[in-house]
Amino acid sequence: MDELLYLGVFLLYTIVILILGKHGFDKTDELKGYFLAGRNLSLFPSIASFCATWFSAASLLGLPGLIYEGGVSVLWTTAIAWLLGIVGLFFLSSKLYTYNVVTVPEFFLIRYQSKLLQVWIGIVLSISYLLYVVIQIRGFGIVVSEMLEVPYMVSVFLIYIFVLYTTFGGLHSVARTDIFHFCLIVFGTILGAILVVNEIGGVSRVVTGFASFGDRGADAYLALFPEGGLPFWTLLSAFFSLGLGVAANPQYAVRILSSRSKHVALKMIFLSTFFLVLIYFSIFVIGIGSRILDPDLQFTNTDEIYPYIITYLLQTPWKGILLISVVAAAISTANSQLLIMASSFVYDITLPIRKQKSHDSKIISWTRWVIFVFATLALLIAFTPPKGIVQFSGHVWGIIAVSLFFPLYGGLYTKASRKNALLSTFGGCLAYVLAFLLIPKEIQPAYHPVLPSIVVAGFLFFLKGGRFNASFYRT
Amino acid sequence: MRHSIERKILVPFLIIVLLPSFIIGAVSMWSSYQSDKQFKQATASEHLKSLDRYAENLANRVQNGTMSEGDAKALIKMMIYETNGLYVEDEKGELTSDGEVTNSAELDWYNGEAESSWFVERKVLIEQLEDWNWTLYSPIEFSFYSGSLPDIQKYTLLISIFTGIIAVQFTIILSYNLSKPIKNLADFCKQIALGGQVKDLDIKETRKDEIGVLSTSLKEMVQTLDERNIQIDKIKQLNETILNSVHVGMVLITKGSESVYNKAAHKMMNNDAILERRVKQFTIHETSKREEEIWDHKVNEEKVYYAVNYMVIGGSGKRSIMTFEDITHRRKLELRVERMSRLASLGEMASGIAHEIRNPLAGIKATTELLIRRLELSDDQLTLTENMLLDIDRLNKIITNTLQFSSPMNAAPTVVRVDDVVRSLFVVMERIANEKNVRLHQVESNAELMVDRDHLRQILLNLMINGMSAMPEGGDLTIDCHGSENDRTITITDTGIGMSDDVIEKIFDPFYTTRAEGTGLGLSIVHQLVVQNNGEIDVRSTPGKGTTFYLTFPSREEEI
Repeated sequence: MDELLYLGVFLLYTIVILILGKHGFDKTDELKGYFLAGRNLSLFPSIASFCATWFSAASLLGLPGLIYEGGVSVLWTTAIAWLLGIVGLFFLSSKLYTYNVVTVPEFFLIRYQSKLLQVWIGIVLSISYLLYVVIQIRGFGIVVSEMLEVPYMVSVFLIYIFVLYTTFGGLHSVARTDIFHFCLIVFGTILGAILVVNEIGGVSRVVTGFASFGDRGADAYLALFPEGGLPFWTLLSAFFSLGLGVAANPQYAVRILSSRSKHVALKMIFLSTFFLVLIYFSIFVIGIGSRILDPDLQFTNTDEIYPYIITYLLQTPWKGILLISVVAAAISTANSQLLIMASSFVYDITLPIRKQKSHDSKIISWTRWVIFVFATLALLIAFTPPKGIVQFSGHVWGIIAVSLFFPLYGGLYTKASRKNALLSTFGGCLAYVLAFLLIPKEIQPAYHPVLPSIVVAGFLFFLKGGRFNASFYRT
Repeated sequence: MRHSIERKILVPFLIIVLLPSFIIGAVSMWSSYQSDKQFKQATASEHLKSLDRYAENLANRVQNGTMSEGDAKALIKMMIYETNGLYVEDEKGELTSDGEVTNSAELDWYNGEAESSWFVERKVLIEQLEDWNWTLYSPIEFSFYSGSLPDIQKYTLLISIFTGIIAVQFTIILSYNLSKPIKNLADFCKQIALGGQVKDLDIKETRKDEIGVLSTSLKEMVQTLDERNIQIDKIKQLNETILNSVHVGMVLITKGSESVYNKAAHKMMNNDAILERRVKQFTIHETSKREEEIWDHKVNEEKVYYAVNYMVIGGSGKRSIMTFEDITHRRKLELRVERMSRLASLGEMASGIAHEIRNPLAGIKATTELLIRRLELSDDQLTLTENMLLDIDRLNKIITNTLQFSSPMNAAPTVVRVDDVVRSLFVVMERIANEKNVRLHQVESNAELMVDRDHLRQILLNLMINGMSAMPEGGDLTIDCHGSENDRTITITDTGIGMSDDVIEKIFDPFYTTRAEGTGLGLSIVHQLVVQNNGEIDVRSTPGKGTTFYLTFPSREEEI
């Protein structure tokens, strides 16, 4: 019966996405229309797109599982680290919006007059996001194949065709479908929390249910700080890799640029914070509640805990919404990343190298082909992912942080030269690779390669120009 | 979007691609359902038949005496009860299932009340165990969403959805790509229709299909249209330049719409409100022949003349063209020539008459004087003859003036300061002015003229006398001088009785006078002197308010 329910909800979701995604096709005659929705998104679509992009399938599936396993203190190295990145976005929005750019790497061309930097950042983003899209497709494929009891290849192909379709219409399509995805994510997580609490027997039962936490006591599980405190380096690693990764993530920079005005961009970040906290709280309730429902679940991967709870512990037809909210999170993140990946490849790598001016419609048509190629490549990789790709995905945000953070924020707030920006991004990446190779794998969660490399990137950025010469912009 | 070509392509295509997918899915579901139903039915039926055979065997054994009837019945019932949902009605009419007696009144299917619905199909299989007089009932339910069908058909559904999604996405992308060039063409045509700047048509030039042909043709058409528009613009600009450069006012009058005026027409109408009113109120009679009229009226006390032409154009009578030209200057010149010609004729005639009269008059005078000397006349007679002599002298004076008027007066222009001349004349005329209660005003101007000094004195003197005569009750007489770079205009203004237009037309004619004591030659002489000094004379007068004479002379020698 559950499969039929899931199929039915999935069919409804499909129809809505097909209708919403279609509208983007009509508004994509110009590059700014295709990549940035004409820089004309009003407040609600901006918030919806921002939040829908923020939550990936990994967040919605992984975080409840991590909380189930690790307790409340997990929040430090996950939700809080991510949310810290949003502070950076406040600083980013007011300055970045004034630049008349189509893509984030183009900012580096205009700010530093460096085509090399534009191409390099384009390459970093193309590769990083390709890997991340593979992870998205793979994660989603595993969950859906388990829930619908269909082969993994079928389920990854499903996400592939959805992501492809919603990305073909450019940011207009992405933003429009993101409104729907955002509603599903908000509704799905809140509903999930309510259903879990309901299944336990109400809020009072939740409080009394803490006593049943297996071998770990309620105090230790609910403590904000684990016994003995959180290791300093673990916290710092999480902040540098996740927080700075978020702050420098072009997905959010694109949302800032696509807003109707600077004022809308600022409001978007401010109001989105409220929704993000609300969703994180719901996920937190789901994680804790799942533990009360069944404290003795044993899985090799924490991602499987939430699907298990949905499938076996919740007895309600509403659980179809919970599944589809995970689908929404996966597709909204993947299509956004695919669009940035393709735009970086076409606009920031091939066009500067070709040095030939092309008509907007030709570039858009070319971008669609690149989207198709990249999505297909991600799909093929996701069919048989090479060993280590999942582990490597943990480094995507770290690489983005060391490559982009200083040139992006420093470019906006200091008078740093092109030379410093190039030194910072190349030096940071090189330091990251070295740290990755030299730091033993077992201690990398605590001593993440981002720690030394971000210091190197910052040092190189301020080496001769910028702060050392007291040349910060007066704001 | 509602009426877009994309939707017209999309909707039928969607139906075409979704319908087979839906039909295949539905047929597959239906056939699976049917085979599942048949399989269940056959299994149940076979089971009932096997029970029947088993009961028949046991009945044989009871008949052979190898088994008691009670044991046989117990065995059969045990077999029946093993099958879940199977009912048996024994020879007593007792209905049992799973070893328990069931109230047959509570069973819908037994009472024939159970009916199949859209989603659930119900059937009861019946088998008679004739040897025992028992009846077996096996009620069966079949539905699409229960049992093993969803598991069996999950992949069919999934593949249907899957292929449906792909088909829909392909259809959407295909219809978008098919309709895009048509939309581009429509946008292109809209831009042409709006007449603004036309953006490049975003269709590949290498395209060879109908869209390509249409796009190439449209581009060529727009190019030709642009070239023609440029030519038309040029011609239009040229026509406008010509129309706006001419000094003739032109009006295109179209029935039922605003008239169109050229620049000259606007300018003339702005300066002359009466002309504007007359032009706007003018109704053209339907004639294809050109009609001509002279319009005259006063603007700021000055009479102006317009030559007006009009005719209907195009033959439909809806449009007419009207032109008007300011001919005031020309008309004044004509009047001046006419007046001068008239004065010349009159002068010749007067000169002839004067000559003819002068000689006999001299004889009459000599004879009269001789008679006075020779005849002894009484005082009365002497007074009469002396009066005769006085009249003869008066007549002689008239003849002298007439001869002076008719004989050419050579002018010797020199630079004359107007203020000096006027001042000396005011000294001369002061006494007479006081007698007539006329106040003389001179507006100093330091102006200099190229004119014969004596002629100017005579001109001004005549006009002053004329002015003072026009003010029997006294008044003000003002002489002023102003001018442009080349000309100076002296104005002599009185606040007298003024003149009507009819009088003004004749005042320069010899012997025309409104006063009994006048000779009618003063202004004629003034006119002649002005003309001989290369000047112009004009007069504006309002009855009851006064008169102003305008004397315009060149200010420099070379202008003469």
